[in-house]
Amino acid sequence: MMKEKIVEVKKLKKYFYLSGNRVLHAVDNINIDIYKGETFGLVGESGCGKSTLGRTIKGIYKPTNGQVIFEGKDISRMDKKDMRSFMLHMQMIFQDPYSSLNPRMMVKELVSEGLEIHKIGTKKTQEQKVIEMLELVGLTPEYITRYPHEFSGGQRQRLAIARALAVGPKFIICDEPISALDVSIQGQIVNLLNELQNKFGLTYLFIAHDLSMVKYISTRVGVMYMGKLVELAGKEELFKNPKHPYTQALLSSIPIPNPRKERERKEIPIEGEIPSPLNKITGCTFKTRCKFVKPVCDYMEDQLINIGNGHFVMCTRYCE
Amino acid sequence: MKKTNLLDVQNLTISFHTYIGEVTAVQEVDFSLGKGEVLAIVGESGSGKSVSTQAILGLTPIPPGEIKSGQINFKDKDLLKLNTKEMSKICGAQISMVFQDPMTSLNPTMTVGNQIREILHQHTDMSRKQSRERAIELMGLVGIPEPEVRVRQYPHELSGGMKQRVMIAIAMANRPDIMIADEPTTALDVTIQSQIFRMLKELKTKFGTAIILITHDFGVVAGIADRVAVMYAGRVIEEGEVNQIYYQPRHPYTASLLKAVPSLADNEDQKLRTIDGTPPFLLNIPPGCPFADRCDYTMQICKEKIPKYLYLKNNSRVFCWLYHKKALRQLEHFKEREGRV
Repeated sequence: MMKEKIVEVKKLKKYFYLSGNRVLHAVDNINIDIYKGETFGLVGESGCGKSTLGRTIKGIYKPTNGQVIFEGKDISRMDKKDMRSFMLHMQMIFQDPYSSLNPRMMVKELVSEGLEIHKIGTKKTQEQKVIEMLELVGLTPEYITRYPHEFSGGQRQRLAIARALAVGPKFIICDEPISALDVSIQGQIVNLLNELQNKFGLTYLFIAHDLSMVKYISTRVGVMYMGKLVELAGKEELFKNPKHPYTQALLSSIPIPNPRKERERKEIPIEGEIPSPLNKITGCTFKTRCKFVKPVCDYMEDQLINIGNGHFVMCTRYCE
Repeated sequence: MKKTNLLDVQNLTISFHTYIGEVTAVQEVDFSLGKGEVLAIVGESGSGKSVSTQAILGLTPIPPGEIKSGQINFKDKDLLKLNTKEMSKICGAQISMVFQDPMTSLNPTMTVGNQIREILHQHTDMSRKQSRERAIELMGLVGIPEPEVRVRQYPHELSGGMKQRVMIAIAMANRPDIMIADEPTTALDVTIQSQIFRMLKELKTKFGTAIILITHDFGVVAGIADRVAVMYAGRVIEEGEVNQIYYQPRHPYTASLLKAVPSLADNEDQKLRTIDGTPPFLLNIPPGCPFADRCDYTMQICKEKIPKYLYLKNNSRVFCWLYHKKALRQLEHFKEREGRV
């Protein structure tokens, strides 16, 4: 079966130029294809560039180099009409529902803002749409005249989802949508996202640092480290058979909520911390903390190596 | 009492006076801590886990807070009755605290070395030279590389994980009997989190410090805790040994919370259990069990009367009507559905 690509990220780079000629390589040479209907999980520790990647795909940041292609069209070369449709079809849900909703707007205004901007429907149909959306995300339509401060964190995240869905998107970037919520609420939101995906055939880019949740929701998972995608595989393959030393260490450091298994958990410790992203490291970015480091790591190219079974890894250990 | 407890919190009720009314954040909470024991207090935000432990060190902001009732016994003293001066002799020396956010809990204008030495000078009569050496020693102990260089650095020069290590060094400086760690790794990445917990376990075995760990992460608890107290809506709704809590949860909330967290060890395609609704608003708590609205096993009585604790062996207890003798059938139903692992 030939799967249809919805988003292609090609050699994407996003550098931030700081004072004193310092350059922060937030996203460095990343290639990803995201297929229609899948959930692509993107994991990594804070500062690894996963949010920057999400924002660059959405066009909030202008890429330094490389391309983002949405449904076959390069977003940096789109004309006004295509751009409008792109903005409509790619939506975003942010991490913190306390700061992502304007406190001075009513639910009605919040959810219909996108409709108004894109001039979809009349006032009346817009209001109907809002009610429909609220019901869809599990909120009662009576909330239509309320303000964000009247809602709990989970409800606000539902509002943010309703807001993103109102315009009928095809692709939604979820940037840590559950990390600000309590555990009992996280499940509710994740199940809601799953439900909506089945109903509307949505494609998600799910950015998170909670690996167990990513394992639960994703179809394929990419692991980022210091601006680079170091490993990419189907979720079962990745979690059963991690190849990159960083992924191995990352997976082994997650505590298991089961005392017997947790006591037996064998950890592959990585010592030290992530080096400053301001220093450009030549070759492999993980070499400073890797126990398999070899001289060739200094000359490693940014190339994901296909090791079969849809599993890609960027590490000199798998070079022929 | 069977065992001599190091710390005994009894019948603690704390409320906050807000502009919309009185919010009871902690209600009739009791828990105890034995020597060298690790007690994990687990709960969602707003369940009262931080408020109840802050009271131990007298950190409850009064006003707006008010300690309505209760006793906190530590070494034959009721900590709630001590004045500020007496309290400051205990804080940082016998009981110390590590806060959640290392970015804001260190003083940005002082070197980290001086911040460690401050607590040493406060409680001992060390000379400046001694305290400097001790600060370096402590920083080595918590796994900070090149402590001789790092003592002279300011917090902004350290990473989040390093700052939390400094906080732990400060907490351990006077070899306290009890360390309270309030979500010590929530702001940190998983790989750093596992480093910190490895170190905490080492410190615990080395010095026999008892730890109260406040967290919402069941994974972390599984690895370090001896006993677990689960809090909900300001009350301890279940307490027990770590294995019992995980493998035989007695309260429906504990059972469903455990199933709401996905685990890397889980098999695929197990639908994530959710708990419908949200925790009650603590301003006007409805009569009856605070979990009644979200519980799958609610009975008529749950909505009318507050349950009583059922005390069981091994110092465990549960706060639920299911354990009343008239609710036997419902309890069977609960046991059947939740299954025993």
